[in-house]
Amino acid sequence: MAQVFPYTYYSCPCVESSSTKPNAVQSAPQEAAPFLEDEEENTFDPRSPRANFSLYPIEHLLYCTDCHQIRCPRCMVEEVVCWYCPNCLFEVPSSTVRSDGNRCTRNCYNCPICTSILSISSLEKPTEGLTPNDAASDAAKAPGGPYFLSCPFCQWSSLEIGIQFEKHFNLTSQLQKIIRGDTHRLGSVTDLASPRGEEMEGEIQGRASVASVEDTAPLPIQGDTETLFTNLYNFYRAQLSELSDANPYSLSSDYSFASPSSITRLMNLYGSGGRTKKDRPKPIREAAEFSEGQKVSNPLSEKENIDRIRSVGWEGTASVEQRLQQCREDVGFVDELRPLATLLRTKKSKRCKICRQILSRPESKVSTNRYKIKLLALNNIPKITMRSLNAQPAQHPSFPMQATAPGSDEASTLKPLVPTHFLLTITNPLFDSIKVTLATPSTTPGCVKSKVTILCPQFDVGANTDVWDEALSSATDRSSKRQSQMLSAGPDGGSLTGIQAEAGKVWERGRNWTSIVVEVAPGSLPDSIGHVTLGDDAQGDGGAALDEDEDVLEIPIFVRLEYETEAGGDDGGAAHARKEDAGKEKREEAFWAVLGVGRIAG
Amino acid sequence: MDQQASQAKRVSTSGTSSNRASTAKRSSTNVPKAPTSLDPNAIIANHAVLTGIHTISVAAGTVIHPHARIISTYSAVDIGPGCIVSEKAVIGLSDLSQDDPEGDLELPEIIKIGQNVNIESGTIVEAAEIGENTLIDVDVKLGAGSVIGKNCTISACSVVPPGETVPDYTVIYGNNQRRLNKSLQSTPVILDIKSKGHEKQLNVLQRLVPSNLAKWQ
Amino acid sequence: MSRPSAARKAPKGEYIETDSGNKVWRKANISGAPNITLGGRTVIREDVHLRGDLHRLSTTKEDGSKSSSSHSISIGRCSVVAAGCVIKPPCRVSRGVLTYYPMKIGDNVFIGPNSTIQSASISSHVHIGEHCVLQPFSMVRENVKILPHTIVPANMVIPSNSVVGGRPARIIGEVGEGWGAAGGASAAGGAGTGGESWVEGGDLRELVRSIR
Repeated sequence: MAQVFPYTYYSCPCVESSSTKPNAVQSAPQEAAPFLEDEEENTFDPRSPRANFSLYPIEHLLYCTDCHQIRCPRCMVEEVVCWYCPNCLFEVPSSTVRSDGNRCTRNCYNCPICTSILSISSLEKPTEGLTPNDAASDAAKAPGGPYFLSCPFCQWSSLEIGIQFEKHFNLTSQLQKIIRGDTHRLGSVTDLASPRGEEMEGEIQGRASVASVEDTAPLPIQGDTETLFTNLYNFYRAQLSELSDANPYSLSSDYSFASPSSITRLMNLYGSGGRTKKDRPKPIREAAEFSEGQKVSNPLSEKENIDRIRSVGWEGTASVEQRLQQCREDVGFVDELRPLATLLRTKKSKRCKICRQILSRPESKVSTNRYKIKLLALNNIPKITMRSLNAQPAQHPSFPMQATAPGSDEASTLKPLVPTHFLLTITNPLFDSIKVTLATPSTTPGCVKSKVTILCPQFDVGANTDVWDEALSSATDRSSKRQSQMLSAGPDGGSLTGIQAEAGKVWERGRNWTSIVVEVAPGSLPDSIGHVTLGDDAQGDGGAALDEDEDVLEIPIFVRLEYETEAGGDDGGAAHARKEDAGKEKREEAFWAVLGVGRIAG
Repeated sequence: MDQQASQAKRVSTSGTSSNRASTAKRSSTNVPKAPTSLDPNAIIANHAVLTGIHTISVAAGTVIHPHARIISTYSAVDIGPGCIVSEKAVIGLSDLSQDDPEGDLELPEIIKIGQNVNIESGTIVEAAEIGENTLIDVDVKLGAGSVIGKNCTISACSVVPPGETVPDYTVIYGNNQRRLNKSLQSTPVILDIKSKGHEKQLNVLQRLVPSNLAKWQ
Repeated sequence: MSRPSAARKAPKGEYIETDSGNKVWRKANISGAPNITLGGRTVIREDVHLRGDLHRLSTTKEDGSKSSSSHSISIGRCSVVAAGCVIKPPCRVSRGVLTYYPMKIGDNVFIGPNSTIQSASISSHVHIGEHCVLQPFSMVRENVKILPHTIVPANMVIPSNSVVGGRPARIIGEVGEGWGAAGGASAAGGAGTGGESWVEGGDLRELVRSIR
């Protein structure tokens, strides 16, 4: 999917913690100047492979009001609030999630071919009634069985693998029964203790010996994954119960190796210990037989698979994605694919990794979208938006009103070497006015060097006061400001394009936002005519073909803000209400952001 | 709605040559109204558009929704009984230069659409033939001269290239992947259920979509 | 003069504005208008097909229920249906009778150009990209983003706060906690150059206002 220009991504400061300077961002005001110089040497490079993991659109970021820092998905800890099925929206109790294998156990199944949701339909022959009147006789009853699952998208149906249902509810248990029946028919075992199991064992051993002698022997019975799994599960459970009999510290309760019981067990196994040999438990051994869940690879089945591929062809072979979605490993053909029970989804609450403060906590009910706690970065750090000053895009990038023909989108295509003006708007969500300092490397990193100049790198942004304050007071104020600016811009200030952007001056200012002009001279792509590059040493890679998205102009920009706020208080409205000089505290924040401007035309 | 009024007007002027000019004005393009052979039991909505120079024939029970366009400029169009042509669908070759810049494509003389074919909204049908009971879903493009078999399902937004032949019971889905609809092939009951549903839909549409056959006769 | 002209400045009178502030383009193809409800401040752009005529047929037994059941499409407040969309109620055979089911679209929903909607319901704060197909009886819950060129298969339920994409659609992510929050941008007052205050999934009142 093509990225919509322009965009702004924010870099979470947590990326710094893994680099050499862990405290680079948490600098005190007095350190500000050296800090900036320091940063000059390792400016943020949006193209570095690491950058991908710290750049987020602002709506994905949260803000820890204790640490006063942005929190991205990498520096948050998630806790599951509830599990639910995305299809039937049933909330699954946490106790059954694990035993159900994280899947819906009601009637939700996905198509094994194309993953869309399957619907249950009746196989009953339709009645002759056509109009509602004719159908009135049987209108009261729903269509009868048998039923089958069918995919509305790719038209796959469970009939293709021979599965029909008697009832249209409780599919999971019906499906299980059908599959069990299948495996029994295949001649495998589910119950270890049954005499059939013993018999099978002998049979397999016998077959295996035969198989080594002659190729024509029928396949050794392998059983399918379910049987193997059950066998293996029973085997390990038996072992564990043996162990727990011998050992007072039961292993079955916790599997973690870090747990005290495991350590004790290991100490008992390997340490000298004061214990007698009698007390030492028998070490767990691996499964060694079919009845214990061991699976032996079989050369004959390979041969059979090859023959089968030959007969069913490409269409009959399952794709890698389809095979990976199945819960069994030995699926290779389309007619072995089974409907997939829908995977559950979760609602999660998020905590700050450092101070454990809850950053967001949704209400636990599946049906609501409300949050009990939600500390958005959007409400705590300024929002940066960018748009072209001269060329008005035909339509809003994320709200297109008319279909656009591919390639017709000139607004985000930049002409190389032609200086273009962009309007950078900083919107302040805080209830205190902020002082913003912007910095950017003069040429963008990457092999296409573009020159970037921020015409007004230092400015103030007003507080996010009541909307109506502004509506009542500054209606005339703003227009006069605009007027004066136009006058200063020159005689042809009437037209928008005629206004010259002036260095050191703010372009326009509103209640809680300020716009400044950024001049961008996009570098030329190495393959274009002339091989002119604005950068100093770009000729080295001039001949090389561009990497993917190398022609996208992304401007890294360093944003630092200072503001005074109520000491100790949070940034809520209450603090704003009682404004006193006494409890003021100077606060500072800094982060990198990346502005995606557009693609440079080749 | 002024349907009754306009219908009355159409009836009074139908069959005369003066009708042609007024139709051209109505559809705001300068293509002539097509010569037609319409079954009296077909439903053609007032706002449907039938233009071109070759014959457009529509069989009994077929429902043509408002704003569906049937163009017979380059080849005749024959729509079988019990078809549904939804709004925004275009049947017929509209602009040759787009598909066939070299002009080496063999154009079908007639676009033949079989029985009980469901053509959904936004489709572009330039196929030579569509077999019976086939579903052409939303925004599908069937290239010029392609042949679609019987009982096929062409899922939304798929593209069939010009001149392609799609065998019976084929499903085209996703990003133009193809598979065989084995369940439909092996279980005739499903086909029964489907055609019953189609029949019921036709029945309901006949009551919901007001017909203005006279406009096109 | 420096207002963001996000919407193309159209000559006057290209749309009809209703009492409740709905803006319906004259070139929109609306059939069965009595069966369609627009919640107010909702925009229907050119070439949109609204099939209000495909409604549930009243049963012949009782005539009293006819008026209530003939409702077919309802769209909430401040929603925008971009050019070339087809909005068509879904139908299916239920208990031997084929019925068209009414479709409900919530508030602040954006439907991108050339999308085809046959959903049973679309909740509020949903952003649908261009060229999407929402097949019959799909259900889109609140705060969902549907990427451009997605096909949502029939009967699919898209849970709240998810991002879907692909053919057929699958859930490929979650919208952030900040979905729809304007972040200090003023909701009222229309803040001039800086104040493109509408965001995906947010309050679209300003966007609707900017369309003229």
